[in-house]
Formats: sequence, structure tokens, C-alpha cells
Amino acid sequence: MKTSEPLIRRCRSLESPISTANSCSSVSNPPGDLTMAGAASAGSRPRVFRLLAMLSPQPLVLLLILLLWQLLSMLLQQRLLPSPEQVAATLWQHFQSGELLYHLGATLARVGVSFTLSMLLGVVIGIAMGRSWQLNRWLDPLLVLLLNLPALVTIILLYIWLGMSELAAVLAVVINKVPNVVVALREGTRSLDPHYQELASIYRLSRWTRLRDVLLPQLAPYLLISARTGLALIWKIVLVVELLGRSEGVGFQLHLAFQMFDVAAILAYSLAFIAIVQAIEWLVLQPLEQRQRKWRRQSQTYRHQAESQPGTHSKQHLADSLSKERQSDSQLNKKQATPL
Amino acid sequence: MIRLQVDQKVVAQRLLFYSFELELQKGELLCLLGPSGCGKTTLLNMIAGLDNNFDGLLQQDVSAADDQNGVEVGEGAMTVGKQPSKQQDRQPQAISYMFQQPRLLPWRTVRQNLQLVIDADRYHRIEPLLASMGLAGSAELYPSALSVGMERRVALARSLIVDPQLILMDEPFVSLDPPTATEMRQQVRRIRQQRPDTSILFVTHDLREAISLADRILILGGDPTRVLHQWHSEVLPEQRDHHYVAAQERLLLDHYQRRDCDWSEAAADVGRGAAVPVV
Repeated sequence: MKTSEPLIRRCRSLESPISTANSCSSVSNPPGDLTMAGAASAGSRPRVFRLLAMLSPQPLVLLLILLLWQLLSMLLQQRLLPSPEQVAATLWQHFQSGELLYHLGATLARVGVSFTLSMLLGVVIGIAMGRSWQLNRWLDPLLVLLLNLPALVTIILLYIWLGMSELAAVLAVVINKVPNVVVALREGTRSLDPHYQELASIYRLSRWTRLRDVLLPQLAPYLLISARTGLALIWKIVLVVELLGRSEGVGFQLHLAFQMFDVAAILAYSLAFIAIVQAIEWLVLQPLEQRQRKWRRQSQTYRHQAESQPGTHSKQHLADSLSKERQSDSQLNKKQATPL
Repeated sequence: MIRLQVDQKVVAQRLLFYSFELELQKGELLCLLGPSGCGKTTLLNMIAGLDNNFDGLLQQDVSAADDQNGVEVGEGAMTVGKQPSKQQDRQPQAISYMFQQPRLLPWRTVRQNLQLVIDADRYHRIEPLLASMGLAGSAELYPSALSVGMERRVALARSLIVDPQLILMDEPFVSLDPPTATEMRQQVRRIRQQRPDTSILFVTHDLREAISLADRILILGGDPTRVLHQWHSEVLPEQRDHHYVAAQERLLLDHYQRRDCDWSEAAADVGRGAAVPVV
């Protein structure tokens, strides 16, 4: 994969519509046109920019934000914006007292439960609506209604109707999230390729194989996107739910801090929670996505390998066999007696 | 070996087939030729069981089991014949289908694509089969890394690995470059030598391809579609040379092109579905 990156870049700088596969053959080209391309890009871009492009920007950006924060906190009053140092101290203090973990745990549990529930419900309803035209006709107005219902309204109403209970809290989050999942999965189900369905029925694939090898890979992008947006949306709603009617969780803590104008605590809790969500993104969602994309990305890698391996059907080999075919074709025309 | 009788088939409010019959012998390669839209693919789909929405009868193994395996089809409902067959677990596959596009699962490697259609006890067949098709090094590749020709070969391998009695091929070599197409046709001939009992029903637009491969050719046309002309050859496919193909092509071309001028005349000298003078 590493070798392919500079190749792609070279392609772009040449501004040619040649695909990656073609650009591979340009490796063996005389270096003349490469240096020309290099000169063209080097002329417009100084070296510094190219060095910058090679660096991974994420830590750099974080560092810049931290610096800016420090500067601002020095300019402003301490109460309005405490310095990063103070926030870190508050974080540590809450961590040591066990408060941080307790409230984070409570919020995470709510996020987990409502995430699972809304994904399950949304997937089932979405697939059903994508399959059945009739069902879609009946449920679609309800879907539009729920999509446009403000999260706050659901939360307040459910608290009024069901009391300040855990059930009401989770239900409010689920009701807010399910419509999004339904929309994504309905789209996914509609875009299923009927050709693969035919294939499955010709080769009499079992129900399980159909699900695992035919349906799931086709739905995977839609599942992932709703999981992604779901996580982001759900944890925000959970905080509101907690702020309004629970006595534990990050939302509750934020509420307390708000009443006491404790900006350091507010920042500490939000940062802690953002870090956790980011960790879930890195450790769970991105690996999943990469796995799902493997068959697309690896195909390029394999193409490189196949081309370097003698004996496999590399480009060279193919060209060889083509020229052989051509020869035999011309022989064929001369003799006019060999089978077609 | 297989007999399809279509009493009536309506597609898009048009009567496509009316009292149409198609019979395929064991080990025979039958080519269907005809203009687009005359229902060649529909015929394949009806035989494959993908399209049950017609009035008629599909019989498999007519000679072996005395009409017991008949599958009565009508009004879109499929009622299996007298035998409540043991189709619970995967039997030796009767029919495999090579679609116009290879239809490999892009998210599975070549090996996984083949494993998908067979049971684990037959996995050992994959390697030799791939090797015999010149795909030895490609088992772990994803389809997107394959060339068009290789994809077709994998699709062919997939339709072979289930040990079918009948292979349906829907213009399988269309849009291949001529050398690769030639190679694929060679592959088909080889398969027929290796598995003399396997029948092939082959749909194509290419007259020369049909003549060089087929035991029998049906030229379809008309409205509703019927057999306009039937051709068959005593010369073995391996022995057909350029001269032969060219000569037969000229003869057949007349019948193939007549669809453009006068249907009734063309239909007059060939009875509906009946045997017709052999070229």
C-alpha cells in the first residue's frame, strides 16, 4: 500500500485521466517525464508545503487548539475560561474521587442501551419498509413526523407521561434515533442488487449464507453510516436527558456545574466524554469500516503483487498471451483450416 | 433430459410465447439465436426456476423418471409434482447458470466465491479446477483485481464446480476481446469432452460462435416467439474448421436475417417448434 501512494500522487500531478493500474507501468518509464512532472509541481509549491503534507495533521491541530486555549485563558478572566492546566487538575480530582468514572459509566450505559435498541429497531423497520411498498406507504408519514420532532419535545413529553424514570430516558433517545436508522436502512434495502438474489437462488444458498455473504456486505455501508451518526447523535441526546431528569451521569454533572458556574468542571467532563467517544470511533467503528472496505482497497494491492509475480496473470503475461493469440490468429487466417 | 413446455407467457402485456416447446437431450449443446427481446433470457430464467410466472410445464430427467419430476407451473404458483422431493439439504446441483455478467461477489475472494456454492466436503476440488482454467495463482484475489477474462473464467468455474447436469449460459462471452473469447470457447469444448453428460443451453448473438460450438441451433423470432429455423450438424465441434463455419454461416444468415423482412414467410417453411430441414 505504501508504494502505491506516491504513484497516485504522481498521477494527479500529471493531471492525466490514467487510472492507478496504468500508472504502475509508468514506473519503468524513463525518468524524463517524471522529473518534468516534479518540476511542474515543485515550481508552484515550495518545499515547506510538501513537508507539511507529509506530516499527520491531527496532533498538530490539537496542539494549536491547546495553545490558543491557553492564550485566551490568559487574556480572559480565570472564571470564564480556565486554563488547560486547571481543567486537567479538575479532571484528575474528579477521577480520584471516583465521581468521574461513576458518572461516565452511567452515561455510557445509557448510550449503550439506547444505541443497541435503536439500531435493532431501526434495522428491522428499515429493511421491512425497503422491501414492502405497502408498508412504506403507511409508515412514511409517521417517519417524516418523527424525523422532524425536536429531541427536547420527546424528552419532556416522556418525562411527563412516564415520570422521571430510566425507561422514559432511554425511550426518548430511542425515539429520536430510530427514524435516522430507518431512513438509511430503507435506502440500503432498496439498493440491494436483485442479481445477487438470483445468484443465491440458482445456487440454492442457505438462509444463513444469504444473510452473511449476500445481504450483509451490501447493507454494511448503510449500517456503518447509521452507527456512526447514531453514536454522535445519541450521546448528545443522552446528555440532555440526564440534564433534565436524572440524578447521575455526565449530563447531571454538567447541570450541577452550570448552576455553580464551574467552567472547569464543564470542560473536564465534556473532554472526558469526547475522548471516550473518539476512542470508540477509533477502536470499533474505523476498524469495522476498514474491514468492510478491504475488498476494494486490497484489490489494488493485489494488483501490484500480481504484476510483480511471474506466472500469474500479470499485465505483461496478458500482453504476452494476447500477442500469442494474435500470432495464432494470423496463422489461422493463413491456413484457414484450424477450428475457430 | 429437460423439457420446457410454455403454454402461455406474457411479458409486459405482450404475449411472448404461446404453446412453445423446448427439449434438450443429455450432453447436448443447444444454441438459441434470435433478435433481442425475443425471449431468450426469459427462456433460461424459466428453466432455471427464476421465473415461475407462466403457464406451462418444466420436466427434468424425462427419460429417467417417468414424468414424475414434472413441475407444474401455472398462475404464478409453483406446485411440485407428485414427489415431495428431498430438497432440504443441498443436493447435487441440477442446473447452474452463467449470467451475462460474471456476478461474482466482489466482497469475497475467488476461492470464497467458489466455496459459497458447494459444501465443505467438496472444497478440495477448487484448486485443481482453478488450475485447469489457468487461474492457479488467483484463488486469494478479490474480483476487482481480476481482468474481465479472468472474471468470466471464475464464473465458468463456479458453474462447473457444482457438477451440474445442465449449464445455462446467457451470452457468457459477450464484450470479451476476440482472443479471450476464443480461449473461452476452447474451454467450453474441453468441458464437453470432460463431462459428456452435461447439457449446455447457450444463448448468443454471434452466429459463428453458435456454429462452432453447438450440436443444434434454434433460431427464434416472430410474435409470439417461435422457432423459425433449426440447424444441426453431424460434424463434431472439434472438427469444424474455418471453411465449415463460414459455409454454414452463409446458409444460416439467410434465416437469421429474414426476421427483418417477412415473418410469415419465414414461419411458413418451418412449423412451430417442429423439426425442420437440416442444413
